[in-house]
Amino acid sequence: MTDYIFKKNSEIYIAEPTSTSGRTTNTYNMGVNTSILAVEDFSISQSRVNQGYKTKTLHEPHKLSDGSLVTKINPAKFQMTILVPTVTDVAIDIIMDAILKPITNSNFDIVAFSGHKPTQNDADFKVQVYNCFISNAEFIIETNSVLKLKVQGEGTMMTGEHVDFYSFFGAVSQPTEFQKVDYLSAKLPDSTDIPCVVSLTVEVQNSINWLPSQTLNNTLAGVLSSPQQATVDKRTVSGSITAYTKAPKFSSVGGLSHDHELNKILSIVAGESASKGFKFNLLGCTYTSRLSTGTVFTTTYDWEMTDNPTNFSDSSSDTRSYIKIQT
Amino acid sequence: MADTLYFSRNTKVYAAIGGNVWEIPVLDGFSFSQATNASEITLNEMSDASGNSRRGRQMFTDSYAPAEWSFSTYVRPFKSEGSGTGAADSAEKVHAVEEVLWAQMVGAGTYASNTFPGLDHTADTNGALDINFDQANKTSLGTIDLFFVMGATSGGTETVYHIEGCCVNEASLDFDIDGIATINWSGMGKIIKEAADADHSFLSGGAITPTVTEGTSSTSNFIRNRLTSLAISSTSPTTTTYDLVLTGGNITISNNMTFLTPETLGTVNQPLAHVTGTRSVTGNFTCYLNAEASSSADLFENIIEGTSTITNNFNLSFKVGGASGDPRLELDMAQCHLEVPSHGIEDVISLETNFHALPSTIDGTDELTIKYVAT
Repeated sequence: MTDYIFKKNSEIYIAEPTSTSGRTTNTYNMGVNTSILAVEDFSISQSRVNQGYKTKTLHEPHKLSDGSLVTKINPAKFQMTILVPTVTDVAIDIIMDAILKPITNSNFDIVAFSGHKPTQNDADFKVQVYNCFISNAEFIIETNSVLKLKVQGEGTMMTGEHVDFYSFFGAVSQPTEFQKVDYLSAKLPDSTDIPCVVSLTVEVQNSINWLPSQTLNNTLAGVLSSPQQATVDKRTVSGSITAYTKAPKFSSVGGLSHDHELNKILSIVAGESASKGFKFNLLGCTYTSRLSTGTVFTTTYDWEMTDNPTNFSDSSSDTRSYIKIQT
Repeated sequence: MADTLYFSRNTKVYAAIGGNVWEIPVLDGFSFSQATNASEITLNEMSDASGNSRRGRQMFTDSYAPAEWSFSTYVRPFKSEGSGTGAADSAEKVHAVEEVLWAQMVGAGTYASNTFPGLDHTADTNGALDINFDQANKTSLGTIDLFFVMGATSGGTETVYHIEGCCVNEASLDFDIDGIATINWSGMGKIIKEAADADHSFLSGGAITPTVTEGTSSTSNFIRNRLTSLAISSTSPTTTTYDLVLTGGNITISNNMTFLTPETLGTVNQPLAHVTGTRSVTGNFTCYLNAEASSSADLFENIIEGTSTITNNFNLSFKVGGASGDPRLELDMAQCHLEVPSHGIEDVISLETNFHALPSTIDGTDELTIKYVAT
């Protein structure tokens, strides 16, 4: 019998090792411990580097095909879209920490498990990405959708193997309640709400630089060199706000007097209420504006944060920049 | 043992907000259903050495589609007695049997002190229920729980279906000359369940005890369509007051709602909540082609020759049940954009005119006001 593996049967887990060698403790399902987080879609992959070399010589002109060496593994790549729950969730907290406080040594793995709800011939199969870093996080705020967090990232290694689900994770519960956008406040420097917002985006990019790990010894021994450690060289927090253009024009209200501004405050709350959902408190932002002549004219304000908070996830005071998920 | 079957004519419908329950007399032809959203996963293999290729498929239920419901009610205004079992009010004010549905269509739908946001029982000193869209510019509107009691009047075993979290998406009024004023309602809900006594204080043994029933058994609060009149005037493309006699028509009010349903992997997702779309008030009216001054021929001529007018402006006022007297229903649309009327070549040549009621400003809510009149 052939066992197929269906994505539709999959669930995503976060695994936190207690030490760098242990990898199976403190496992958080997007739904297990807090029963509320869920993943809409995901993809995981990893490729090997094939280094070709010429084999054709004057003595052997018939060797037209290159020789090949596989000595290196590229970082594993993953992407998933997470639905934002209405209650606090450990797993999404770990993801948010990875977005906002990237560190040299990652402390979590992502485990995709297929087969929890077996259908006809599907298999229990586990795909695990070790030592994950989040390279890109897009906060999706749309009127006709629940709040979502789309993350992309990289890890040191990806494995795929057959396992028994219940011996690995135990019973799970299913998420049921998610946040939608019933409340949206995008405030300008003088605390004025931007009127007539059509859409807005917020994106955090962490530029990941993997440290070289390829050694001559490994190559000679036939050992593939996989990424081990990474640093985050740069963080970009940016986005845009598109609003219908009204008179007076947007840039003349709310403390913005020009079509470009430097070092201005931006505050956005989007979710079920003022105290639920995404909250962005960004103290120093650069704004540039552009007018679009659609069926209804709109003004789009592209912004980028220039502030450098020491702890981007510290939301204890509005006098510092932070991003948080309110539940 | 005899089977227990149910007939649509033995069904009663109720709307509930918390412990408040309204009886909604509906016409034959009601419906409710819920579908599933499923994904088909197929294999696409090439041949093996023996010419075999697996050709199976797998189905996965992703989510439940929102429940859809529809039914028709008569337009039934009445003046409350102000007291008694099932009274709609503690004062003698004008209400409508179907007002709980209007309340969900035009506002938050919350019920307090015998009324709802968007419904005004006191604005007209002559006694009327005014319905406006002042509070309708929201991303979500009110919801009710609908109960369909199968076998309610058969004396046998009832089965009660409960549609949770219903929004009112559309209301459509048809003016056919020989009929009684009727509104066709439709909307969506979260999920259809079989109701259990333990879950609802007003449900016992399959029977629902409504808290508001006034007007449902009256025979004097129906409205005859034949008496309907239309007052129409324009300021653009010409300033004209027209004299038209209706032969039929329709007004449709739509919230263009959509329902949010998460699509997480590994579970069957349930609909979450509704989101409002563009509110539209559209319709049409028909009348005979009449060459009298300021009649339908002039309406056609003025519109088709108004090539410099991008948005024309007509004031339409339908008085269903007559220009005066009661009971009646008035629908006032102060700013209507009319399309070029189309000719119907029949025994008597007619004109059908489509209209779009618009707010005075794009962020306004005054495209339509509704008045129920009763004494």
